[in-house]
Amino acid sequence: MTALLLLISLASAADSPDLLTSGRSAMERGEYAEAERLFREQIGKTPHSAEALGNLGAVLARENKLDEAIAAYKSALTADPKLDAIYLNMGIAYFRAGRFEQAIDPLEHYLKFHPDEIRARQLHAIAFVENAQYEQGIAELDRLNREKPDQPAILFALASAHIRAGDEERGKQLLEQLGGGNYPPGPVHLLQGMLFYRSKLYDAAERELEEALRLDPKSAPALAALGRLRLRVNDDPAAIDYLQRALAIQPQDAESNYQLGVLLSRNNQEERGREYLERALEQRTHYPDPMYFLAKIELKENHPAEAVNYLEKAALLAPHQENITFLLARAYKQAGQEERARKELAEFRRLQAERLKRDQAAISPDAPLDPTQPIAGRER
Amino acid sequence: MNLTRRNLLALLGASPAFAQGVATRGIKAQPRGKPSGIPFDARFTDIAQSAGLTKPVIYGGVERKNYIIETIGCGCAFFDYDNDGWLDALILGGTRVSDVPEGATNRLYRNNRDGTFTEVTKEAGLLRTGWASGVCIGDYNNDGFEDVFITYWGQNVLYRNHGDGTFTDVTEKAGLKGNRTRWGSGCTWLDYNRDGYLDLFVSNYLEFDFARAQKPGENINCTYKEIPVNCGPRGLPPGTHSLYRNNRDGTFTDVSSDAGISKVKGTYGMTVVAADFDEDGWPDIYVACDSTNSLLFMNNRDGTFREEGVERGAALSDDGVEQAGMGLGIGDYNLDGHLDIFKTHFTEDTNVLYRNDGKGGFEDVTLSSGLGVETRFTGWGAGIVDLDNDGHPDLFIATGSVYPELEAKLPNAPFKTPRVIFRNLGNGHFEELIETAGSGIGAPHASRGCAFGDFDNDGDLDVLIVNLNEPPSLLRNDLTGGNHWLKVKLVGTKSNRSAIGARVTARYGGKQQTQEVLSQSSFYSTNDRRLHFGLGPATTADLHVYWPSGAAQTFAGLGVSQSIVIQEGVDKVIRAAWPRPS
Repeated sequence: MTALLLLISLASAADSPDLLTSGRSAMERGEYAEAERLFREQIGKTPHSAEALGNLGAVLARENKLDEAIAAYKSALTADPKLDAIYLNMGIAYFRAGRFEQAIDPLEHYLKFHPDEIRARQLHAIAFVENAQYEQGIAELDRLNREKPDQPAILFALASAHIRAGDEERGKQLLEQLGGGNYPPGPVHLLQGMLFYRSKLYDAAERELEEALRLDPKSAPALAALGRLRLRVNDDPAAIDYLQRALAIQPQDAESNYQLGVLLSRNNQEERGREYLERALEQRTHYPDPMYFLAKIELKENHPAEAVNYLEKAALLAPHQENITFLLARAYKQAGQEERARKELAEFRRLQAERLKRDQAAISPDAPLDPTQPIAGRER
Repeated sequence: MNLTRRNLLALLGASPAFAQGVATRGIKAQPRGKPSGIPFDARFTDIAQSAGLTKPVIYGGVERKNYIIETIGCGCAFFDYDNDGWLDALILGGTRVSDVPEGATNRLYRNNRDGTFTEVTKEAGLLRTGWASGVCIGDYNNDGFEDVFITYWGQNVLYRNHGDGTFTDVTEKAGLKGNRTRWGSGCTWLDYNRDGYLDLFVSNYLEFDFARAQKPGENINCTYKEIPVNCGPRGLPPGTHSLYRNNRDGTFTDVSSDAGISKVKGTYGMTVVAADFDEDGWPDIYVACDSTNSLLFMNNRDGTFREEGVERGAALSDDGVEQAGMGLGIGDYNLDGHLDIFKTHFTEDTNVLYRNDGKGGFEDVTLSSGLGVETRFTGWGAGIVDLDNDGHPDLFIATGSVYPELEAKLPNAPFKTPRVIFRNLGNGHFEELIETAGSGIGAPHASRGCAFGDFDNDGDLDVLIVNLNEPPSLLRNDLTGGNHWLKVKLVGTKSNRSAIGARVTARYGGKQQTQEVLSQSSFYSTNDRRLHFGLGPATTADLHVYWPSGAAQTFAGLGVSQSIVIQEGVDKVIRAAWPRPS
């Protein structure tokens, strides 16, 4: 993504061209600390210089000080909202910080003025996917793939998005295209592992993922996926180990943070678990699952008001989730809000009945739920 | 690799795991604390062989079970069918799919009063082959002799006890014969309209038909950990439950619809308990349900019921997930005078303990009471029973897998598993005991129903256990230590003669404990209906008796370590005629 990091050059009368030029030169030489010093010196002279603030943001991003970079970009945009390039830089910084949800808006803003910028579009699409907004992400990646069919990175992202969205068939087709090309084998094994997992072929999934990890020992997605495989068979120590290794490489993975948080909580490390759950929620603010588990912790600690707060938000995001509705009722009850608890339980009953009806119909369409009809009288 | 959120919650134990036929939450056990070091004086030895309980309980395939009907098994009863003051044993049985082996029948054993039993099934008229499920005992015609109702896949059976050692099948005459095949599971006698006659509640598990049943592995409900196993219960049409009103003339009327019972659909009903959970003087009905909401039918006092399991906190786990409700223990574990519910579940889930607030509202205290340490076994028969007479009721669980074919592929999934005791530490916490409570506890079996009672009248509770395709176990409690006890038999006069639904609160040594006479509990089983109170070191006890008729009686300063009989309306207790053996 660094290739997209734009340096700003819009010197105004108040800026000192020497400081800004020297700073940019230092940055190009890779002397980031010196560049930062020079840009800060300029900002000391002209605190509202969009160019200086924007360049400071760029060098901070290079130094991996992403939160500070984002703050600098925001200040730059306050000084001059018309600086389109800053939106792109800010989107990238959010993306790199794993704050995909926040990356979407600035990238969108940038693309309004630069609709043909391929890599910005790619980032924008992936941000949607990472934020579990698969429909939008896949639509954009599809368009990109049609426009640039020769770019394996786009094909990979598209295949991955389909698999994650549950469309194994399409994922498999795209994977075959990838396999036929010159794409590096590690990610191909990763995708194949994900596909096998989706198909409940867990042994095969494990083999593919292990191979992906062998080819790239720092593949955070492979480590995280192996962690989930271990989680599936309740091998908590191994799952924790894999997820911790994945997060050491890619700390911004909201889902891995969430899963590790729950795993630690259920293995009697609630305080550490809570940290990961909160981190997951910082990374993806519209993520009901960590809200649910944080609420469980709050209820256990007899903090019903805090639990209600989490669960009301979660219920808005996932109104059809029985577990959230049930826990919200419990939280209301614990908080002394009996009437709300009653209403929530009624909603829980409704959701549960709907689900049972669906499950039954899906499994035995010829077996009605009402068994008072003699079996012999039922048409097969 | 991402998963859908629902699946992810399922993986993490917040939602039912749907890739199998039975509900389990994939729960991890809580870590065990340090042993309390407090001595537990009860030791259990399986004496079934020497006591003459030698015939196996035939029930489905031995090496593999292709149909769910082979897996569920059946219950048993400790009851005194000949009124001699000594508990007899009724052990239900099943059959096989491919053939009917010789000896596939229920069995009645008469207590010889010397620690042994004699089988009297044939003489008693109780020979019967079929897929028996549950038993409930009660004197439905108030003639002074306990009658027997047995549920079946096919047709349930009511046996009238003539009082001369024989029984007659009066199902049809009583109006209880059905017109189609149903899978009767739990049952209980109760006097829901308080007219002095016992009515009958029957739960039905699911609709099962060999002709339509799918084979192992045929759909997602026919696998367990990706291994093909028998299908269900999920994916099979659930049963509806039935209430029969006693017409006081030996017949019954099906009032399931009028009483609001049959409108509750979509549950796989198992063990049933009738007890007055909200203490309004009217019996309520709790149904443990497999992989669906458990049900709590509250008595409206007008011949109807309303189902409020979810609303009252007794239907689901504390995170709103269905559990595989099998067996039920009912008792006052925390000595607050209210009846709590202990329910057993599938492996990789905890059993659940619901604390009653006295108004019929329940709180799941499983984890806070220390029961989360055990998730390895599938639990069936259960009791809240004072095994060491220390005055604090303990928990007992009979366990056993449903999939004999698993253990060859999964070393951690044995078919036969031990019994479990959670001894009550008296501070709201329990401590698990297996190996230290005697050889009869640690011995592995594929157990199902169990009944609690003092078969040798020595002042402690013994346990009768059904083991699939093996003889039953009779765990004799060889209790040491000097704790006292009091055993109380109630006889109704205005109330039903069996006193089912009568409630007794005992006060002893600054404690109080409530018990109720139940017709069914554990798993599909009936306990000794004499209420057994462990009293610890207390040397006297007061009893408060609340009869189903509404009458109440108090008996103060009773001597301990004795068995007494209390007749409704009679203010003098009778020291029981049955002696302690030498």
